[in-house]
Amino acid sequence: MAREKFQTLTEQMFYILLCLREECCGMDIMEKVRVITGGRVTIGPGTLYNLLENFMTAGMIRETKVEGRKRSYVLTDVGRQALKDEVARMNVLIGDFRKFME
Amino acid sequence: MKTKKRRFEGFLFYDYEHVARHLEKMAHKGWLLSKITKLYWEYQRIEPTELHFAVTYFSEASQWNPSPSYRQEEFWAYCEAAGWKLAAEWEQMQIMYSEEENPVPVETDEHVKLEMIHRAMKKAWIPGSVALICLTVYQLLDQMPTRIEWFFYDANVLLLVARIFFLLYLVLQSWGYFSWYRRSFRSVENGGKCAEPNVYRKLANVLITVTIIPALLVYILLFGESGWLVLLSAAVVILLLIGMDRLAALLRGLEFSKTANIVTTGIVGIAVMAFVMNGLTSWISDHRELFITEAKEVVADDLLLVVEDLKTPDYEHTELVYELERKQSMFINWTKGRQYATDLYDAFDKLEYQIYEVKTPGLYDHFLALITGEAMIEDSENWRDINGGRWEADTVYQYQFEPGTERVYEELYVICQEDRIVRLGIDWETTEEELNISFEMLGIASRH
Repeated sequence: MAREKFQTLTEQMFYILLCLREECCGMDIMEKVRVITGGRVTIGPGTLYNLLENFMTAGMIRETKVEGRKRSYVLTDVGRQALKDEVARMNVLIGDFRKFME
Repeated sequence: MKTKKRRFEGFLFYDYEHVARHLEKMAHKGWLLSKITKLYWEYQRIEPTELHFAVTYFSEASQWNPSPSYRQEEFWAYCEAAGWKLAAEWEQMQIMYSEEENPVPVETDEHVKLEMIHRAMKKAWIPGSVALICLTVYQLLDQMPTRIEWFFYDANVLLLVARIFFLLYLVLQSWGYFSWYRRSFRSVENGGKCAEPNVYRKLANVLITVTIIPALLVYILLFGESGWLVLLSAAVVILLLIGMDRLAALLRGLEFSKTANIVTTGIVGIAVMAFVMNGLTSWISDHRELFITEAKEVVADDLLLVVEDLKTPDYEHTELVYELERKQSMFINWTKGRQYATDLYDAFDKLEYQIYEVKTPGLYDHFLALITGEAMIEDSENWRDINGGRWEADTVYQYQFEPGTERVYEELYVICQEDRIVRLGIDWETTEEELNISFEMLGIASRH
């Protein structure tokens, strides 16, 4: 069910997972995504909090440490695979575009 | 200068957009939301300023928790990191504000937002609504007119109307939410935004307003002669709600667990309510004459028909009672006359008549069915039409008692005459002449 839910990733999901390729505090992800995307993608705190909970439930990330009100996470193999699948899906789109439009 | 302001706000729980816009306008006027209680929203005076408000939902939040959970505080910390501060909570609803010019919205994914709202609604609002709908349906079924006496009081009709309106309001509100959820779900699936709350919201508000009118009329009808009781009842309900809210807050401060808080506040609330209701009920029963006109003892001349009109009583009694009772409503004018003796009750010939003047012709057959206990009296084996042109009446039914059955009256008649239904009970076997006189005294002339 959870896998089906994340069969395709939104831009916000994609960048959150990308940030978690290395251990990162949940709260810092908002700023990291803004920097990575040059301000093109912004993630609201409510959305981020809930998506992190959903990723945890789906086993795509895991908690690494808790410091006060700060919890840190890192990508799991399932999460890494989800990112790869998304990139593969986008490559198919790009391939099709090139085949028919260029 | 006032530093606090309390307002009643009638927002739907999921109407986050209107809540946020309203609070922005209030801040612009110099009022910042600081607290939400069951009865009112409290605002603190501030310098008029442009604030941004965002309404979000945290399904684990509860007014019964002794303190915010770790996860809730963590959630607030995320919001704070993005420049959002908590203004107030309303169950799972978290109202945030930001002083920044262009803050990052709290919710940037409509799908996640809809999921959060629905989760919060499933936890608090939906079970509450279902329980309230069931309770209202039960009260409606319980209040259905199954006895003729129900039609003696206009207040019953108004109460029924008020309950039907209230049920419609509840159903419409629930329907409104599910319809909004369906539309939002479709929209979000197609990459759009959550839908605007629909027209049901306004319809529901209209319905709740019109519900109050018959409910108030009931009060005035019941307590018309003691208006202060209306105010007292309203004050008791409001005070009880405030008291329960304060008690819950006090217990939260004393670190009571969620369950202990719910149980304690619930028990205290029920106990206070029972105490107040008990006091009110005993006051009403002590002053019944203000609300219910019961049978009054009268003299023989006040009754249309007494035993003495028909025969000389068998015994000399010192304590003969003549009773008269009257009721008027929009449906019916009802008169009941009764004669009996307080001593040697069974030995004395007693008599009773009831006259129903039906004001609503459409309900005549229904009233006749309620009075006789037969849905189709024409087909009934218990009641036999004995008129046969003997009296100036449409029909004269006599009850056919099985020999040996216990009965209050030896003979029982129901007479239908134009808009009237007359019920007569006589405690002995009457002669033709006695019956003719009885009917005549009750306005049913003999044709012979």
